[in-house]
Amino acid sequence: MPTPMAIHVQGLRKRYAGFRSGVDALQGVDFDVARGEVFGFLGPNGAGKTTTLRILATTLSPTAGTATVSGHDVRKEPMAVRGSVGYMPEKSGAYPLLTGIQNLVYWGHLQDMDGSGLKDRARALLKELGLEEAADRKVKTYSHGMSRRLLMAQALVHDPPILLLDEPAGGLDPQGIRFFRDLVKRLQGEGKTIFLSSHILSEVEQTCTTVGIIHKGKMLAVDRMTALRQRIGASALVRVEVECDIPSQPVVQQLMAIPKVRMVYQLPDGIRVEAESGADIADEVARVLVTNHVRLRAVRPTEATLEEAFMSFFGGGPI
Amino acid sequence: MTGNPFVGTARVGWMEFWSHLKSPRLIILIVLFALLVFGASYGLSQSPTMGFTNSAYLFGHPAIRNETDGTHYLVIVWVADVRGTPMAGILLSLYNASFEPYGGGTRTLIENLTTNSTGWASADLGTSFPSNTSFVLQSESGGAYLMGMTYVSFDQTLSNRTFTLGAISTSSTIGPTGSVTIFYTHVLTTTGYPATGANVYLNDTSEGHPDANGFFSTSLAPGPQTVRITYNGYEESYMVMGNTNAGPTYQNGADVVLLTVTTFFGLLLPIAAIAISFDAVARERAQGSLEILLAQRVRREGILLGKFLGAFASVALPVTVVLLAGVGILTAVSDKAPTGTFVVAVVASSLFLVAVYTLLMLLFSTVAKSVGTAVVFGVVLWLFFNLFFSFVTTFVLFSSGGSFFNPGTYGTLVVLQLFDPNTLFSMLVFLAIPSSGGYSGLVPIGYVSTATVVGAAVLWVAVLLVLTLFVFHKKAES
Repeated sequence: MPTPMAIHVQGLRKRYAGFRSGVDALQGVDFDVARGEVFGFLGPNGAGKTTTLRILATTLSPTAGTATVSGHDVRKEPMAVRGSVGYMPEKSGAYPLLTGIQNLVYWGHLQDMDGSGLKDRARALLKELGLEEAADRKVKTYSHGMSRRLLMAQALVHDPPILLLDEPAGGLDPQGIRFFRDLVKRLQGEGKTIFLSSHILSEVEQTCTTVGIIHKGKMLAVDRMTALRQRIGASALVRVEVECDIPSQPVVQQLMAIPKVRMVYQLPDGIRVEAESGADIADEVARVLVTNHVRLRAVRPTEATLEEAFMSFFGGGPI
Repeated sequence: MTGNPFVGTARVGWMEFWSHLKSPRLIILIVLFALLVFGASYGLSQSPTMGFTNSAYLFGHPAIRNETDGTHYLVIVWVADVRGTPMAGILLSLYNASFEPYGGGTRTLIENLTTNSTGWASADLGTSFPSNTSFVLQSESGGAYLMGMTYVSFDQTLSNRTFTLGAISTSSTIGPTGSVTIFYTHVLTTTGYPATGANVYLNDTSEGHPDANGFFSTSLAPGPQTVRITYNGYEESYMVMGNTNAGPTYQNGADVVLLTVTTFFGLLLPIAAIAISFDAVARERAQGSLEILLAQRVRREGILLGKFLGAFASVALPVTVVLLAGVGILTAVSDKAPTGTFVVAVVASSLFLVAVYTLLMLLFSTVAKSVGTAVVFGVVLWLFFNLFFSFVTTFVLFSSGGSFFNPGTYGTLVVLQLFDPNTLFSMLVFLAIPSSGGYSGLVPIGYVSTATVVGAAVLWVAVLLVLTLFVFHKKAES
């Protein structure tokens, strides 16, 4: 009888042995992912996201602890795990000298799929992912975005119930990021469990139902997205960066007088205004500068990066 | 884990095989290999006398000439190759040598000579009879291709003879039709001029006269024969030996050609195997497809065995085709086919060599962090077994006090050679030479048996395969 959890991780440790000193990439990680959930696995680079994903995909063996995927232990039943997950690694590539369709058919074969139905499925998938035109072109001619989509097709080819996506939108342009966001939503609608890693808050914010935050090999929090947003948001700062001439002291005083503004910093080519969480100060900042005849070149409300947000919330130092 | 450990082997193997068959590097290497095999098969199958080199032979004669001021004693020299073509400009030194009864002795330089345009040179020793001494004629041309030296003696019977012989000798070579022996001699009158009127008989059958330079040659049938030379009523007889075709090693000349063709395999086949497999794992790692491959429903053993079989087959198949085509050319040109079992053994031994280097490279390719490192590993490996291994084993053995005459040291050296796949390949080929009875210099009887050599080859492949599987299992997941 399968466990209700799609992914169950307990006390997971991974130590990379080194010549003189090893690295403890995971130091006892616990979390569960329920079926049908979209789980955002968040953390800065080097936190242990990829290590966790590789263990779940059985391409890396853990040092200690247990991990089960679809009720199968990654160590004891790796073949069963591989059959039930679709894995899209972060730094990976298809075979450059094969066409998209050849790559996909090969991977399908390695998932024990059959010849005739497989080819149709591969074509349909490539069409679904917008690679219909490029299907018979060699992969070396693909752009980065196309390669990522081909790898996504690879993860989907055997129609697995669970998807492990390592930074699926990494390095993509906004259009590509939106494409993956929509795809994840669609796949969630089909009832798939999706475990995706990211270091960008906005990427997971709109798609994930649950978020786990990992830092330096330890889980800092696992919570529903809505709950976590409230917790993090309460402590996060709002920021507006303005490219402009350097304002005079009275103008800075006026900026400081805008409600909820906490600090004004001078930058080499302008200023940065920080305000309390939830404040919408961009328009007001622009109005103050314009009425004081400060020449404006750009106004950019910037979101605090996830790292900063959760570091400020969890009290960690700079990363 | 249960079930078939080699799930996915066929798929991975076919992909590896198929992608290599289209790769330019395999095509280039196979074309090179084919040119060498075809060229050697064709060239070596030509006339059997191809085997005779153009080494120079030195013919020295004593001569007596009556001049106006008395009787002169001379040394007459002629230099030519085994076909009787004179060699000009050869530097020679004539020494007066005296020998002690139990070895040793002294020699003093009399004169330096140079052969003229027709290969002749002479030295006048004066008018007194040079008794109790030998004259040593020695090449000073660096000696690289000249038969080193010859002795010229004067004795009292010289005046009773009508001719002298510069040599009465044979030279043998192996060709596609078997062993060929040439008998040759150089006949001068006692006055030092070509004895063109002399008669040469082989087993009492007249074979003709020496040529204008006094040179005579003919081919000999296998077995002992009598050569008789007569001139102006005086004659000399000698026993000569034609090399027997059914020698201990070579029965069929076509086998010899095939054996000769295999001599460069130890250099070339490893290069082909290395060039195909050096990046089998490293490339997948570098381009990032290894991570995807490892996440598919295939076992690690299946992936590695598939990679091995695919890479092996992509070299083995064209190599086998080229080898068989070479045998076809050899058969067509020389009209004699090599022994079937020997052909099979040569193909099998070649595939052994390919298999070992493919596995070694898979191992290094798995360990290597980058494709570049894998290439370096391959080059070092090739150099190691082609150059260093024999040097190092021999050096270590003999520098630690061993000797070729010591059976223990020699036995150890022979056993150590089993650890060198290149030598092992040669041993396998030599063991299969038909009618050699398993004997050859490479596989000395009493030190190592056929079973040991074949067993060593099987162990090489088996141990490497297990080791590579183990390392791949460890390394892939890190």
